[in-house]
Order: sequence, then C-alpha cells, then structure tokens
Amino acid sequence: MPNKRISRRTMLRGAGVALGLPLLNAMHAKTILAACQASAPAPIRMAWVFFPNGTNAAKWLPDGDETNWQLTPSLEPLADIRNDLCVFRGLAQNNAAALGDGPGDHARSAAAFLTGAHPFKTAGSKIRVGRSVDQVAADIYGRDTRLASIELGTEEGRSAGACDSGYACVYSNNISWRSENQPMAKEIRPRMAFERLFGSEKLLDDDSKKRQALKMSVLDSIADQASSLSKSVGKEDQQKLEEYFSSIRDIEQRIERADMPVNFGDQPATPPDREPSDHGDHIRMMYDLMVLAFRTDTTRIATFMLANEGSNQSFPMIDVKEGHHELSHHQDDADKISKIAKIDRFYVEQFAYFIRKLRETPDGDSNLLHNSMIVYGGAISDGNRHDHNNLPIIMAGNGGGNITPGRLVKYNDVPLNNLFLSMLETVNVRVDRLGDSSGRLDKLKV
Amino acid sequence: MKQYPSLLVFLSFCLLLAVVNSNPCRGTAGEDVAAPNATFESQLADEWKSTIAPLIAEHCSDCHGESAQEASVDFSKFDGLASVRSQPALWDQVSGLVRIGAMPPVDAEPLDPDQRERIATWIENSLHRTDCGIQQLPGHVTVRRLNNAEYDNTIRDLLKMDFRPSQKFGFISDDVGNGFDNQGEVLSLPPLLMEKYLTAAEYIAEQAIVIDGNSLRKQRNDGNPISLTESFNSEFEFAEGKYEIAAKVKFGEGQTGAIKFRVLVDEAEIAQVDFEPKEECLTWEREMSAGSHTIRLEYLADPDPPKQGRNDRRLFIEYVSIEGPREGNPAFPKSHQSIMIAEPSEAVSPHAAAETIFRDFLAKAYRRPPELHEVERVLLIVDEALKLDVTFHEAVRYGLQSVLVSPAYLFRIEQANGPVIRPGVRQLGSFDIATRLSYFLWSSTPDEQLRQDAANGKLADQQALQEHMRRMLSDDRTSAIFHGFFSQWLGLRNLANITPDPKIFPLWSERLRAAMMKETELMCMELTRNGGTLTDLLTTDFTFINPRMAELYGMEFEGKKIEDMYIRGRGNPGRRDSQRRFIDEDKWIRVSLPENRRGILTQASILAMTSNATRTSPVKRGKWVLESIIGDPPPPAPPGVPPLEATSKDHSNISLREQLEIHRSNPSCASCHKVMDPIGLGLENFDSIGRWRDEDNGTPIVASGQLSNGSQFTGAPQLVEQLSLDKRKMARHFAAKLLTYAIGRGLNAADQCAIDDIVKKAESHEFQIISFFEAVIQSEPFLLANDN
Repeated sequence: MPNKRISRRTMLRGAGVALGLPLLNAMHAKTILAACQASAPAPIRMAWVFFPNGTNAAKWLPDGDETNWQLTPSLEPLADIRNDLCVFRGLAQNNAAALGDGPGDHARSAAAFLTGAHPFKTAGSKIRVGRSVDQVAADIYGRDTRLASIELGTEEGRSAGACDSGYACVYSNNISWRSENQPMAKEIRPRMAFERLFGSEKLLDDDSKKRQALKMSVLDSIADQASSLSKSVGKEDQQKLEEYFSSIRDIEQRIERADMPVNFGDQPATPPDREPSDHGDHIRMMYDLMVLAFRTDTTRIATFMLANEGSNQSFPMIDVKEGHHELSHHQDDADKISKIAKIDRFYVEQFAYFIRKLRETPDGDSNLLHNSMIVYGGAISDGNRHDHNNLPIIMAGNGGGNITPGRLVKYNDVPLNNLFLSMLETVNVRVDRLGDSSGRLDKLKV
Repeated sequence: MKQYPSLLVFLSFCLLLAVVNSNPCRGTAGEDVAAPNATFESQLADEWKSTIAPLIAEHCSDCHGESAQEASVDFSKFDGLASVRSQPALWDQVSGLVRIGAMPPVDAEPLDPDQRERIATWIENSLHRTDCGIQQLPGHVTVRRLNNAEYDNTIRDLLKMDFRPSQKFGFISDDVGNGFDNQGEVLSLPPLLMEKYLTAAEYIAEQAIVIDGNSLRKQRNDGNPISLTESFNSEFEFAEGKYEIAAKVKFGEGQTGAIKFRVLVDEAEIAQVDFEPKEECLTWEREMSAGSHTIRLEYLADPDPPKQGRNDRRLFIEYVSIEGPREGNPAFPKSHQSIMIAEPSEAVSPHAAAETIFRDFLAKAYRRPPELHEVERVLLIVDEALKLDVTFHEAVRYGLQSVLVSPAYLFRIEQANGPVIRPGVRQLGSFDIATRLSYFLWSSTPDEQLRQDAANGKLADQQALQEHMRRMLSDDRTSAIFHGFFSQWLGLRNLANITPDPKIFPLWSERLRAAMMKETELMCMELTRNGGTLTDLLTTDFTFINPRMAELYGMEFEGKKIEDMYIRGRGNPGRRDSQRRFIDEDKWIRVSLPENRRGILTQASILAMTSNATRTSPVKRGKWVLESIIGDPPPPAPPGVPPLEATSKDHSNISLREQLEIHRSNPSCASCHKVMDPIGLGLENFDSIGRWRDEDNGTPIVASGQLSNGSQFTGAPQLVEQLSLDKRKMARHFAAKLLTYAIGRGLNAADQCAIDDIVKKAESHEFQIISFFEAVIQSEPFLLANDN
C-alpha cells in the first residue's frame, strides 16, 4: 500500500506548487481569470452552519402552513430574506438520543448532527461515530476545487476533563468527520483560515521550482518512514500511523490542486488583518471568509461551528452575562428563557448577515445565494429538554434552481439525514445511505 | 558498538525482579481481565449470594424491583456476577451512589456505613478488579503524538528555541481523554494539523540554521513600552569581543521632566540615563564574553509622582540591538551551534559532514539511536538539495525539516526492547524509559544526562531512575507537571473560561485570573518538591501571594498596607492607574494564612472556577470536591428535576442555604444533594472570586454543617480537616490520575493492582506527593510492555 502512494507522489513532483501556497491576490487575478472564462453553469456551494445548546423552541420554530407562515421573534432578523430560505419542521436526528447510553446529549448531538450516526460512548479509547455529509461530498464533489472542503469554528476545544458525561471532548468539538474515527479539526483563527485558502504572503518570494522539489522530497521521505515504522508496531498503533498517512495523502491532493483556477474577478482578496473583537465579530469574519471562498470557487463545501456544543459563552454585547449552556437548562425560568431567545436571535442575526452577503455577491448569471444550499441548525431542539426531533433547521438558497425557497416545510419525525441525501444528489454525489437516512426529502422543490 | 557487560544485564534483571516481586500483580494471564481465578471469582459469587443480594433486596427493591422500577432500574433482573458484569455502566452508578450515601434516599430503609462500603467494594471488585495474585499483562500504550505543550517544550529543549510554535501556528487544541490531553488513543492527527506541522517545521528550520554568518554581526530584538518599575529584557548570543549595544527609545510627546532608566548586561549596570522627552538611539560599547547575555532596560524613576504609571509616562523601547564583534567570527544562535557540529572542508565531504550532523541530531530528535536507514533517508534529502546547488547550510535546513515532521519525531513510538522478564512481558527499552520519565516530569524530550544513562543501560536500575527524578524535579522544566498534571487533575483549565460579572466583582481582571493560577501552581510545586503530603494540599496554613492576591485575600504585603502597593494614576494622588497595577506585581512571597483559610480548597482559583458569573454555587463546589479530590463523582442530575433556580424564583429574599434546603425537600434531589451541598455550603464564606465575606444577600453566612459520614464542622478550616481524614480514598484517586497521566492511557482492571501498590508505598511515606511519583515510576504499567 504505502509504496503505491509514494510512487503517485513522485509523479506529483511536476505539479509545481507545494504546501505553503504563494499568496494569490489581485495582481495575479487576471492570469488566473483567463483559465475560467468558459461559461459553464455556476457550481453549487454547500455549507452547514451549526449552533449549540438548542433553542427556545417556542420563539424559534415558526407555525403556519407551507406558504402562509410567520417569522418567529428569534427568526425576525431574516425578514428581508424570508423568501430565500426554507424553514423545516419535523426533522430529527434520532441518533443524538441516549439509546441506552445515559446522559451526554450535547456531545451526541454535535457528533450526530452531520453524520446521523450514534457516537460510541467513551472518555478516550475507541472513538467512533460516522462519516459526515460534508466529507462524503468532499470526496467527489470536492475534487474540482483547490480545497475539497473547509472547516471553521470560533472556539478551541475544551481542554479540561470530560466534556459531557463520559464522552470525550472530540465529540462536542467537531461536526465534520473524515472517517468514522477521524474528526476534521476546524480552523478558528480568521487569518490562518485565509492563508489556508489562498496561501501566505511570506511565500511570495520564490525561487520556486527548486524549493518545491525539495519540499516534495520531504513528503516522500516521511511517508516512507511511516510505512517502514508501521511494519514494526501493533494494530492500535498502525491506526495512528494510518491517520498520519491519510493526512499526508490529503496534503498531497492539495498540492495536486494548487494550480486549479481561483476566480477573483475584479475584487482582490485581502487577508484579515486583525483579531476578532468579540464573538459576533469573530463569526462575521468567518462568514466573510466563507463568502470569499465560495466567490472565488476555492472550495464549494464548508462547515462552520458557531461555537462548540455545550459552549458556555456569555454574550455581553446583548447584555447576557450568564453562560449559554448554563442558561439553556432554564427549567422554565422566564428570565432565562428570554435570554436564550436573545442568544438565538443574535446567532440568527449573524446568519442573516451571511445570507445577505451571499445574495449581494454576483455569481454566474445570478448570485451566490441562488447557487447555494446553506443549512443552519443544530441537533438539539429545546435546550432544556434535550430533544432531538423537530429540530431547528433552515436551508437558505435555491441550490441552483433545485430548491423552492420561501416555505415552511413540514415533516413528521423524518431523519435530518434525508435532507443531506437530497443535497448530495443535487451535486451528483449518489449514495444510497448516510447514517440513519431512510430516503430523500420529496418537498424541496414545488 | 559497545557491548553491555552481561553481568550488568544480569544484575539489573535481578534488581528489576526484586521490584516486581514487591508488586502483587504478577502472572501470565490475558490482557485486561485475567483468566478468572477460581478463588477470586468464587469469593465474589459467594459474597453476592450471602451478603450483597440480600442487602439489595432489603434496602433497594421497594423502588427498584419487580413492583417498581424507578429510573428504569430493576435489581430483580440480576441474579449474580455475570449479570452484574453485563451492565457495568449501571452498576458503576450504583456503587457511586451507595458509597457517597446518596442511595438509598432518606425516606428508605437506611444502610449503615459498613454495609455501604461492602456493597460498593463488591461492585468495584466485580467490575474493575482482577486477582492481583495472578500475573497480569502490562497493557498497551498506543503511540502518542506530541501534544501542543510537548511539541513546544521539545523544540525549546532540542533546538534551544523558546517561542511556542503551537501558538504561533495555531495548532488545533489537543483532545482530552481520560481527563488528560496526553492520551495516545485520543490524540489524533487531522490533515489541518499535519499542514501546520509542515509549516512550523519549515519556519523552525529557517530560524534555527543561519545561512550567512555575516548577517549575524548586527542583531536586533523588538521592544515594547514599559512603565515605572518595569524592565525590558533582551537576550542575545555573543562571541568574545567588543560589541556596540544600542537601544532606540522614546519618551512622551508633550511631557516634561527627565525620567531615569538604567541599562544592565546580565546583572551588571553599564549605564544610567536621565532621559528627557525625545526619541533617540543610544549606544554603549562593551567587551563581551562568549555565550548568551541579557540586556535589560529598567525604568527607575519618574520625577512627576502624580503622573507615575500613566500611559503617556511610559518609556517606549523600539528595539535593542547589538553589533559585533569587531574582530573574529560572530556568534551563531544556540540552535545553529547545537545542530551544525560539522562543516564540509577539503578533508570532509558535504555528505560526510551532514552525516555527522544528523547522526547526532536524530539521536536527540527521535529520543533513541537512529537506525542506519533513518540517517540515510535524511541524507538523501540533503544530497538532493546539494545537487540543486543550494548552500550546505540550506541543504541541512531541508534535512531538519524532514526530521521535524517525521513520524519518529512527532510520535512517541516505543521499542519495548528491554529484557523479557516473564513470559509475554518485557521491560521497556532504556530509551523508552528515559522518554517516559522525561515527558512525565517535563513534558519534554530527555536531556543529555538521561540520554547518557539510557545509553549506558543504567535506567534499569531503580536507584538511578529515582535519582534522575529528584534531579529533574529541581529543574525549572518541572513546572510542566503543574500545567500538564495538576491543572488537569484539578480541572483548573476551566479557570480560563469563567466570566465573573465585573459590576459585582470590581477586583476581577485578567491579571487576577493569572495570579490565581500562579498561587495554585506555586503551592502544588512546593508540596511536590519539598515533601508535602496530600493532606497538606488540603490543610496547609501557608500560601504564596503577590500584591494582587494579597488584596483579594485582604492581607498585607511584606508588612505594607495594600494601598501602598498601588501604582498611582492620573492627577489625584489617591487614584490608581487605569490598569490597576501594583508595585512588585510579579513578586511572589510565601505567607502564613489567616485562620479562616486552609489549603487548596480555600484558594481563589478553585473557589472562582466553581462559581457562577454572579453568585457562588455550593452545588458546583461540592460536586468538584467529590469529583476531583475524593474521586466519587456524583451522577448527573436526572432529567426533569427542577433545579435550584426553580425554587429561588419564589424565594428570592432568602439565603442560598435556605434555597438549597427547599430544593432538597424533593427526595429525588435530596439523595445526591445532601452529599454535595454541605461541602459547598461550608465554603460559603468565600465569594465567587474567593474573597472572604460574612454575609450574603444581607443574611449572615452559616458555614457549619455535617458531612454524609456524620462528621460535623463549623466552617471551612474544619471542613477541610474532616475531608482530609479519608486519606486512603484520596490517595487512591490521586494515584489513578497520576498513573493515567504518566502512561498516557486509560486504566484497566490489572492496573488496579498497580494502584494498590502505589497507594501502599505512598502510605508508608505518609502520602507524600513525591512518594506517589516515586511509586508510579516503579510501577509495572510504567516500566513494562507486552512482548509482541
């Protein structure tokens, strides 16, 4: 096995650009633009935005019928883009429930959100959940862009003790899973996320070919070493070295794709030059990067954790001093419930900012939002009850014409993964099953 | 190759056996749970029949039996050992609840303390123990990726570069398993992190190796603004000879008067400067000796006392630079010196020079002698670079890059090539042991002395190992044991996440957060290094404070009133500067505590971490003590139980204590809260940031109470005294945590035998903290590996 990989890598040497991609900016834009002038239909972009701790469901989930429905107080910030999105009722992520494993709903709901799988309860060994929809898409649909997918967040992993009732923290901190036991870590620093997309300024000076060749040799050498080591270690250890291999393999693919066109148009991309001033600012900076990544077609697949599941952020900017998680267990305390609604609304406001920005960004014959499928939600419905059905789920965008937005779409206890299966189909990734999916959603288009 | 004298091998083998013999866990049985030993098993089975089942039937089955299954628990379904073992999670909970006295609830037939102990111990033995009289396998430690702290420290010690790459390159935070962030199975290596390792390696190689020596004649470090009494330090590497030292400094536009600062090289003053408002580059000549020296600028005096400490009275240090030596070669940075131990010459080919370099470097980087093919693999890269016509130094950079991203560097892969000590079991290789010891105590790579003794085979000798440990504990690097072990054991990393409401707690600041942590660090390290016991940790009558902590605790600082330690701010002489700083902010002194504070439970770090943003939480505090100190975590609150707040709403005018009493009147809550709450309530005299208080909400605080074992206390000092009595329980929990941290994996049934042994050894030293460390590094899980 390892030898095969190495020979493939050797072939890659000609590819020219190695990790630490030189910065692409407006100066380069023209040459690169030339590569993508052929007018193919605009690609569809997909993003999954996750918020933690459930909602104040009474103020979040709208009622009404398909076309005649009212925005709830928490969704009010979406008023001007109401017709660009579907709100769902009745979708469920049943594998986030205990199913005999006792407490730990927070950990389970982040882990199940995009996988539809039931995480194995462990504080350390044998971590396992399932592949997430974004990574299934990235395997195939991600091949056409410089980056197969990006994973963003705002909070570091929690680093003290168990995160949730005997579940290792990795479950609460990740929604994207490359394999059933390997999470895709998320980038939380805007500047570094930018450099990951477009390269870093420092590397502009370049007697490139020589250096690139040597960098490739370094990759060759370490892969080689890993393969000889893995012969001498036990099974558990081999799995770790396999992670090492597969990470190198992913990097290799990035290098292979480094020459892929990036379409800056006439707008230069400038790296974020400051630290986020608060949680809202942080979220908007990350949304800006997602818009930029989509606009330039650097990637078509993104996940974004607004905060880790169980996050105990406080929100001084909207006068909520208590922690989010603490508040979410409100036990019908009116004051707490109203604060939860404030937080829900705050997150929705930021989402509205993102959606507006997508709508304002021209793309092909229409705009980015038209060509996108943006899922917004979480896998806990009511933060106090920890229920995992009737989830708060919004999908923004027309999916390039495959979705009819502006509706309240109602189901009765249907797996959320059915929505994901439909999304995959839209971008021609055909899988029969994902997690607990039982089919596709039939009401996305009317 | 030098052969080890066979006699030495034989002797160390015997020594090891002697160690092993003192441990009751010996044998040839299978992994984790040994082939059941007839006596051990039949004793458990008999006890079930004779004692446990009847007790459960009598005290539990009214609510959890055939007629009622509260919380879906039905004990009538269990008919013996096998059925109990089939549901370990449930029975773990049963054991915890019974042991802490939470079950049976107050309204049921009570169990006496002996009966509780009997049931809990039986469950524990059935689920988690194995017969220590038969031989066990040591358990497998999965290869461990260096975590972020270990990566940073390893670069620091390997290349003499102290700059925390994990921060600079934003390594993703390490996942935590079994309570620690150094667990092999849990530490993953996602592509994002691998990318960052590659970028970091490239950067480190560039910084570590200098290509053009002449560029080193001029060096400069960026400075920063300093206030009165503060200093700026700048370290450079010097060659012997005459240097020009320069500093570009600026003092306030629009200000008047000359401030005074001085310049020191190491501790010797070379100049005092009266500096009027201006910007200037000052230079000094000095004869320097070879080695690293620190240039220090210290802000001594401000002639305008009312304005002292104001931002516009700061001294701006733009940079400090050195130029030299006038003659001879410039000094290369330590990183360069430590790697470039050979240069090509007429007699030495570049390939040969690189071979010398990497033979030496790989032995340090891989923490063991490298295999021939490993050296060759790096040399291939160097050769390829040389073919492409880069300089020798640059070619070595590429070699170095490849080492820093190689699996043998990033992972701790053990060779387990020590002698077979019984069938199926080997001693770890001596380099493995050196590495385990070093990452255990320093979170870093073994130093020269450890490597040498590993090479000499000396580490198989317990005496030598213990001596190394003592030596290492006195080194500064040992602060890693606080950040790695103590802070995670105590859950202190959560201190970073608390957000006390500044309106209620005006003393709260980021500096206070850091100071709280420092106090606990100094205490843990003092007790570890100087023979302190676990009991001391709970009950000591001293602590460490800086002026900021003195203010929080309402104490004087070195005989001075705390007001006299404030740096004064703008205009009004009584007013503090805007950042509320202290004179001697960084000075920590050891002091006796007032009578109302004792030990770690009354330290602000713990008290603040277990509080809410606006008020204390006796429940959190009680839960924390049970979880972290005693090792009996209470089970999570059952769903649908109204919490404290539901009662507090209707009774907002009464004290927290009374609110909790109302809450406990609900029997389903009472069972656990009657154990947790008294502990937390005993600490109620300390507010959310750890300040002493006499009343809450206008109600005088009553901090007396009764623990679930019946013992009474009247306040925090007596409470901690009572808690510290259960030494063996604390010791067992502490030993398990320390072993988990030391070996980087979750514990299994066989490890319980090692823990028995560690506790026994520590007990013979009155549970000195150091004795746990000594016993851990003698234990089988630490020293042995399966023979695959």
